[in-house]
Amino acid sequence: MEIVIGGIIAIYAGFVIYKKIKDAKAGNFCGGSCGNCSLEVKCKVK
Amino acid sequence: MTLRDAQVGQNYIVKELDLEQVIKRRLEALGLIHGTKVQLLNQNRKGDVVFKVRGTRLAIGDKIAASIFIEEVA
Amino acid sequence: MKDELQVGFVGNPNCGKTTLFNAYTGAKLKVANWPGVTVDKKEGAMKYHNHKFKLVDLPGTYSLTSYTMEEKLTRQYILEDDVDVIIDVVDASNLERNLYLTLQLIELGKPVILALNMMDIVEERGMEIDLHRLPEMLGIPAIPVSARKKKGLDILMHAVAHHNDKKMDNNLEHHHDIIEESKSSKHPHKHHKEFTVVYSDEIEDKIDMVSERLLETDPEIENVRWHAIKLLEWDEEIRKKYPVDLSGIINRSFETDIINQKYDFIEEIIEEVVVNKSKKEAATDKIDKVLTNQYLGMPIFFGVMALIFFLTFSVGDAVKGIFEVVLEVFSGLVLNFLVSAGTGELLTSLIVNGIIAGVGGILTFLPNIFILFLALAFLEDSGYMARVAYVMDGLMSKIGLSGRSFIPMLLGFGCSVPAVLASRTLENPKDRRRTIFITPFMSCSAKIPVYVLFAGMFFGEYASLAAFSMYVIGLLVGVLSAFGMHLFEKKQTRFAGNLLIELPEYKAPNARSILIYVWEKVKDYLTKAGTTIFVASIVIWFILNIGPSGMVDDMSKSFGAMIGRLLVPILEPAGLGLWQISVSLISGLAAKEIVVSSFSVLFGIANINSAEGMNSLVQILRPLGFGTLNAYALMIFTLLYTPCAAAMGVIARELKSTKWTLFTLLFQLGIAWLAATLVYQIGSLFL
Repeated sequence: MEIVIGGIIAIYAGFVIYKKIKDAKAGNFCGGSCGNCSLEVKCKVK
Repeated sequence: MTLRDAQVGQNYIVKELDLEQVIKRRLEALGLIHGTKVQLLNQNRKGDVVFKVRGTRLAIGDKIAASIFIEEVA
Repeated sequence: MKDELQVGFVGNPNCGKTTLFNAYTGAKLKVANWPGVTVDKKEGAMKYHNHKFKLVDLPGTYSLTSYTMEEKLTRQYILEDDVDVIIDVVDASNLERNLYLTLQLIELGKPVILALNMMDIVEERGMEIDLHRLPEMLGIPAIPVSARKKKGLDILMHAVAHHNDKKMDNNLEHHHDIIEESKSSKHPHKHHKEFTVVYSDEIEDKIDMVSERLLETDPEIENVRWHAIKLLEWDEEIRKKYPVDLSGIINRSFETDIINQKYDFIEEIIEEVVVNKSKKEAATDKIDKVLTNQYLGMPIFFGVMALIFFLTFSVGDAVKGIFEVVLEVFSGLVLNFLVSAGTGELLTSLIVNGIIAGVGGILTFLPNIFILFLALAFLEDSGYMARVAYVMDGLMSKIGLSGRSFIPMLLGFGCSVPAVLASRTLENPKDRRRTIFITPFMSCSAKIPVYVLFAGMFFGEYASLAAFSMYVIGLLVGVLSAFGMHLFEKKQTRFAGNLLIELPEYKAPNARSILIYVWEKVKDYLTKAGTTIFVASIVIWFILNIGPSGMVDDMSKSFGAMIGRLLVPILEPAGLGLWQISVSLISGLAAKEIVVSSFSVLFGIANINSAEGMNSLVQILRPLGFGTLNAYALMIFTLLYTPCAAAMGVIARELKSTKWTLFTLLFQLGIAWLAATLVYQIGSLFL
């Protein structure tokens, strides 16, 4: 059980880090959605 | 006279725009050309000006205002 | 007929184009009123009856020359991309200026439909537009709509779907009696059956001649007339693309002539088509008399900002009670679950003392964030922002900035990232650089949890005031820094006097767009909590619970503590000489909210934003020598020091110079230390 919970957290954290780095490389620094970033920022909200 | 010397509330006709190209073109795209009628809406001590041209409300700095030559509407 | 119609939305800034676009696509894209904000290409899709549409929202622009990026983008899109129909969104209450773009669009040769937006305002003002004559004179359909009231939207799409079926209608009918006494005309030109805009004979002759030469160069050229006109205007882009020999035809640019004649035509149209042009002074002008009054303008603005910040702190606090309760219940549930699942101590600690403490604590600040963005949205949506640029221009130029740079700065109170990006609209690179430089001093919303927490803990009834003072200090530091840069620069560029900005009509803030915007911000906040702060809390928990000899009982033996202690001597003079504070400040580089999360994890406080949470923390901190003055120094340090990774990334990208970026980051760090130290040292003398 412990392993399950710990594993979920680890995978989620890893996923978040991976996404953040990917976004940053693409120039997307916005927190979540790009609601207010409107100047040529490449968002996944396309 | 230039826009800088204009009186609030009065109407004027544009004679000439003695400005550098970039700004001149911006203003031309908005319809500010020779013969256009403008109305002065607001002014401050420095000479910055708010005026209406073809329904558009523009705020310009005193240097630009001093480069727009106008004459009073008869 | 094609399967999917590609429709482009073009129009002046402030004509409601994006509102209209959103009404169709449901996209949650906000509208803001300053020039240059909509610069990226937004796309959406929709279905209408049996048609599929791909909608593209192009940047707001006044014309289609090749001087600005917005214009070039739009032009390129229309000419080269697969656009089937263009919807020209026009502010019907301000037709005259809007039609200039319309004529240019028509000249491009692709199918155009005029969407007369803001018809509700036209009605209100008692104006009337002859909707029969207008299409006749322009040769394109004109559909009245009201994006805000969502009227006419179906009809517009219907027209789009069917306009694509037939080629350009030959419904042009105007009655020109231009008696041109032109010496160089070969023959009088009466092209009105084919072209909407027909120029003087002299110019038409030249168009013919240039067209011939163009066809020689490229027989396959599309829309030769448009290209010819561009060459006559000495359009940079077209001249490069088609370096046709124009000798003998023209020896100067005919741009002004062509503009003049277009506007002559527009005047004709307006004369015929618009009835009862409003002669009453519009409400906007009346309001502006007060808001842009040379004596009242600035005080009113500062009053408005003060109101916004006070609301953020006081109203936000009133609501947070609910969040606290929810958090407590939630963490209780999780704890029970973990215990009953027989989870080990470590994992339980990670989850409860790490993740829930770190993230949960942050979530309770949501009400404050909500209020702030709600207020900023009101500000933007109403059209007041442009007035602020005008009112502040005088002051800004004294410190080496332009009035327009004030707008990115205002955005900075929300988040530095879009603020720094918004500085792109500033043409002068020095102006832009300086604005980027001082924008982080405009306290962003992520720092609010820090203020709320520490002001709440140590300032009692003056908490709101203490928090508010952060904004004032940030502003002062920003102004002084800009002024400093202004003095140091060798060639002092003066922006004074060169302001040029449109003041749009005031709008009653549209409830729908504001709610959409604020909801976006709330989602942003929650997402940030669930991602960045989540991960950061885990990392912090780890470094505070692992030391050289493995898991530690006492945090002060952890790696985190060791790292923290390295900085203690430096932070000591600022009243921040505790390793726990160093750790928090370092973690704040990931996101400023994490400073608060760190405190939660560091001191094992479950619900840090609650009365008990704050009390416990105060009880722990005071014996460590951390009192009110220290708290204030901490707030100041947080206000001024290096911003979060996201902001740093954007700054680095926009400044495009390692030298300047490093300077910015180190400067902020230095100023933060200096200010905190000064406050603490001087304050210690008195208290």
